[in-house]
Amino acid sequence: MKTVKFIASVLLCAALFYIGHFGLGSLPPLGKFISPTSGFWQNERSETSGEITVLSGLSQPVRIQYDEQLIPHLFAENDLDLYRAQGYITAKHRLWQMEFQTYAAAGRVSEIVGPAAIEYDRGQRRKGMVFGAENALDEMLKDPILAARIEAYSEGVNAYIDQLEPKDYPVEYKLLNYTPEPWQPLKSGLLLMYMTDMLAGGDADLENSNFVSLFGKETFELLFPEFLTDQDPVIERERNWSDFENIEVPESPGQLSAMALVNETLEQPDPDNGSNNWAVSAEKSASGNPMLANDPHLGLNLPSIWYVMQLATPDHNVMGATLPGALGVIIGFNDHIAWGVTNATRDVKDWYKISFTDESKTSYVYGQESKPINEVIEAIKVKGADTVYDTVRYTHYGPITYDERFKGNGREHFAMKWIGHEPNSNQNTFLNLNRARNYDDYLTAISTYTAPAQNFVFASKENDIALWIQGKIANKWEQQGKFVLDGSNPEHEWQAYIPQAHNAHTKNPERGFVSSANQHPTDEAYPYYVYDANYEAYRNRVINDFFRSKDRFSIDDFKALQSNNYNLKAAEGLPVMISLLEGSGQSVVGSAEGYLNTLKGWDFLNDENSLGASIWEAWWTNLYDLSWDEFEQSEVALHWPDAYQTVWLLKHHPEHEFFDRLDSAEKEDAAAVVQLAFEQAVKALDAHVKEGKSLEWASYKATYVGHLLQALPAFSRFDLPVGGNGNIVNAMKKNHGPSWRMIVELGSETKALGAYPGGQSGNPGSKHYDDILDTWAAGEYYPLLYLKSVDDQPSMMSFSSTLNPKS
Amino acid sequence: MKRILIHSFLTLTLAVALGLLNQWYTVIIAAAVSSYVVRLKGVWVFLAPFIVIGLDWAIEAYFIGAANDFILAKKIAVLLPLGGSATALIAVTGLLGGLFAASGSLVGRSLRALR
Repeated sequence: MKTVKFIASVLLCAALFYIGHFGLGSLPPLGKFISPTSGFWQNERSETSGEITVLSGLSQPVRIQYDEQLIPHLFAENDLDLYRAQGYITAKHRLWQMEFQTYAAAGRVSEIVGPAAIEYDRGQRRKGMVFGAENALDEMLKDPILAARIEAYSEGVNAYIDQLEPKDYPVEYKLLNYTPEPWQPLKSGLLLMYMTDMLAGGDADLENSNFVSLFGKETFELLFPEFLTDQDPVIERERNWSDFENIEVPESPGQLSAMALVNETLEQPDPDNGSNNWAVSAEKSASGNPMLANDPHLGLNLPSIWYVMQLATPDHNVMGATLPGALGVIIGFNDHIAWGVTNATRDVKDWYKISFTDESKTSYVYGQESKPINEVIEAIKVKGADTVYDTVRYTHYGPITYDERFKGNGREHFAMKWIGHEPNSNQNTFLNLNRARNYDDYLTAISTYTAPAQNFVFASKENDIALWIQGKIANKWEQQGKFVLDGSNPEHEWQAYIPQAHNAHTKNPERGFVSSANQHPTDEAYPYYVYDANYEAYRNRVINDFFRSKDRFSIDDFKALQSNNYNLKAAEGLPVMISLLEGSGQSVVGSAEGYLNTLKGWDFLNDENSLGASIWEAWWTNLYDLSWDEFEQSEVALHWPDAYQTVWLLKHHPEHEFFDRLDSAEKEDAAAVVQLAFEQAVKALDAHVKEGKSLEWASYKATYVGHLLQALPAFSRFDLPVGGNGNIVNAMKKNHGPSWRMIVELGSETKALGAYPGGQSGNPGSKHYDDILDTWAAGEYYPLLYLKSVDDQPSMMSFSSTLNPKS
Repeated sequence: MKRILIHSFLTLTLAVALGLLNQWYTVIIAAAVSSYVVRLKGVWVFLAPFIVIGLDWAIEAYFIGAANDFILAKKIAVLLPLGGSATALIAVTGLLGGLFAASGSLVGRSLRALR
């Protein structure tokens, strides 16, 4: 009996230990997680005081002042100390995020979350994310100065990780029951690949080829024109290109002759990943000082993608938004210049149909010869399950992403040629911008930058403003890479790149301002072939009209423009829709009449409390989906026409066959679809009201900032009181929008403002986790305190820390 | 009663001492050792460590949380899910701590009986 009791008690205790230490199903390991001495309670703390610590590898002490937003102002005596300290401090506040993002980039999420992420991981592997990061790292390590900096940063991160005990791990590690691994320079490369994928990872080649096969070239040209009418390109139309000499554009060898339809492609990055930036000259500035602003539009996540820092040595002093995992400041200013970026939106990813020489699929046809395949076996470790293996075949173009084992059409093979895989030193561009003092320095810094191509906006205290569309961009023949290319035809290769000096740019234009908002880079006069499937059609016109509206602009004007809620899409689309609705002769009664009257009186502002904005959105989204039901119901991959072309078609081709709905026997035209969309919208809006919910825009839209772990509700912020939307300058969508807002005025004193949807701490238990978010949501800013020295502005500082070299 | 107090004191002392190892399961060991050394009867084998360690964990959690306005506790109480109540989370913390310790105590007691 005693033995039985003993065995029973041991079994009970062992069971509890197991649940407590390893977790059960989706439950975290309860004992480990909830214990006050080692579990999440240890993360229940805010950063309120500094410390004096040893950071081995430093040559001199690094002093850090934290201001009230927990923005660290780092003062080091030399560059290597600075980047070592940057790595250490960034890890201190953002370790989990910086590591998780590199797992996501490398296709290793299954290691953390289990089988649910296997397909995602396979996709990342098949995109060659690690291949690209390794190519970049090899190139970066060739430059001894950059190599030493990356190494110092990496060691700084590791110094922080090494001194952690399990109880100190960020709470996400405890929740998912894993531990941080050592940082490596490759991870900085992976982080930059993550950004490249987000910004230059989209394309529509296979989708375009599908469309032409199904509906013909003529309809394709109608729905997807290369130049939209009425657009205001990044480089002003007044700019002529007569200063470009020796322009050579390759001749077209013709397109790929035959290809089967492709059913499935990888998920595309959000086409609204983009940004606004602008700068005004001294003459156009109310204060007489050049000013610059930037707001990158990305997924709204916590911890925030940006981490604000000031980084100073005796030789340079820079402040702005950093990317945890990358060195230096990415978007920012120093005492001489300011710079910002928006995505230059260029088709830099092409697909080549590969013809194997035989069934073994170990070599492929290339002209009169054959080339060998390099097989890479990808091992995807999976939490709680066996490792999954996937073989990816590499061609000289890049990885065969789609083949008989992964998406595509299950039989043909498509290799990816992507600028993201090219060796690059893009990290250096940012480090050189951090140190730039004038236009020439800026130009030198950006001229080697390859991808993701960016519109680099610039302003300096020497009263220069400029904008270069910089990236390594293939010099393509007309329509090259708009459709799938023939991998067996050497003439289908990218023949050359556009010479860097011929990348579209403007310096001190007559109009006194430069701006970009992911629109078409130039007008038709630019001598090289320019194409992308996703040019933004609205923000550019609102921004440029604003800057043409008066002679001089102040910081308040800049703030107002970043929060500008004017819905130009609605202003152009709604009159067409109302006219089609009323022209149909159907009577509008009941709640529908009320909605229609509200819309007729709407000022086209997507302000927080606007009712018109919600009614418009309900009507528009229904109309868009009904208009393109052929796309919705298609079994092959297709790229959808954009909003601009949808309105254009409603207006100019209301009888077009695309308006005829697939699932009705009648023949519909635009008016019928507009009317049906309105009826559906009325129903949805009535149901919304019936549930007791508000129709005010902010409430209807319900913007949220979601934790990186699939918006884990406990660590996310919901129902933010914000206006705006996609295609609006204030680009706040439901879970996407201005991820960093910065305004800089370059007067005798450098003045800057900033805000972002989050906080400096990555710890959900810190008051600094989301303390900047509400300011951001209100369209307000914090001053970015640019310290001249470590002892500057002491009354504005919260506490200080010192990192000492090992004695 | 005296035994219960001695047992409780021993459990707590061991838990605090072993607690320096920062391993949650040291409370199981502390209770097991106590019950092996000090003989308790009946329900007290379970109850004594349950109460002592339960209170220990709950009080520690309370003070950690109170120093930071329960910012994280309220979030974890959404995750677990406990309706966002930090109080409920403190109670669950104590309850689990108590349960782990009590299970160790049962092992210690039954091992002692085998002597």
